[in-house]
Amino acid sequence: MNLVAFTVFLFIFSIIFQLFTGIWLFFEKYSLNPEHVAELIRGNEEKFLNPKSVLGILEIQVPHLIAISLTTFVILHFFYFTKINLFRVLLSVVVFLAGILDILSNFLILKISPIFSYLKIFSFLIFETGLFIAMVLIGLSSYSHLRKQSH
Amino acid sequence: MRFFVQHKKSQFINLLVVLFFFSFYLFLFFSVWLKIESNQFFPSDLVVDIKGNPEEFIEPKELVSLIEQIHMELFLNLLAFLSLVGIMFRTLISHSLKILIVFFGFLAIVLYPLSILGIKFLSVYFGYIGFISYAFLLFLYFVVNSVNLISFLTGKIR
Repeated sequence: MNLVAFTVFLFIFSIIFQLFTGIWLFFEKYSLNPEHVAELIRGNEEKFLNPKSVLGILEIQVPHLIAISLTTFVILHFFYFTKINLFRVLLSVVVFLAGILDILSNFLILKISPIFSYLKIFSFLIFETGLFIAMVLIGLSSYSHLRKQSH
Repeated sequence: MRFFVQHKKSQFINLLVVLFFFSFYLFLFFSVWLKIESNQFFPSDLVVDIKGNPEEFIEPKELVSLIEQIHMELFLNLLAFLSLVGIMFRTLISHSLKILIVFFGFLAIVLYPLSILGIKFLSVYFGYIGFISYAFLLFLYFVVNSVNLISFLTGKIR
């Protein structure tokens, strides 16, 4: 059995669980309602919600920035062991940009306009979908590699 | 000259890897300490932490904070394990043992958070699965880290 393909397959299988908890967390915290997202970040006097401070956002976003970049890099670098085509290159760029935009949108919502809550939801959905597609492609590739070896 | 430069380079990499292994032992030690301090290590503590205990006025953990915990621990464990086994591939231990370590490592990484959800939604008995899977994962980390360290120190690497 190919050790690397086996490890990649199990890693992808496990990280899908991580992706799922990320989506679950987003739904529990923000839901997919842009107004609710804006409220949580900018606050709402009627609902006694305090606006988030820059420090509060930084405390969440700084570890997320390295975690998202690292996870995305680790997952996407497995493309290196498969056939790289234009779609995969574009997918990688889009996933990275969407991840970064998702993080930056918190500051944009707080400092510029609540309209950026649409950007937050959109970039989050693109990031998660793109990453999921990448994982499926890598998972299938490592699975077919394992099957080829077993025959 | 080329041999000398290459040799120096490989010694430097060995030094970095050995430093990484020692810091990983520290990480293991502090992980256990953190789990014990936050009452999340032993099965009964894990159950009380998640389900709460009205007699001791301990409130059950909110779902959001549970998912947050799972989200972070999965990330940490997946990357830590991948880093360790990535180095282990270069050691000379048998191929089948490497396959077993990889399989049971990933199994423990996934089982631990699943058992947390199991305690929350299904049964307190998942506390035992949580404890066993986490303890096994730590044991596996320790074994792989030690194998890596010994292999690098004795030069038994590919």
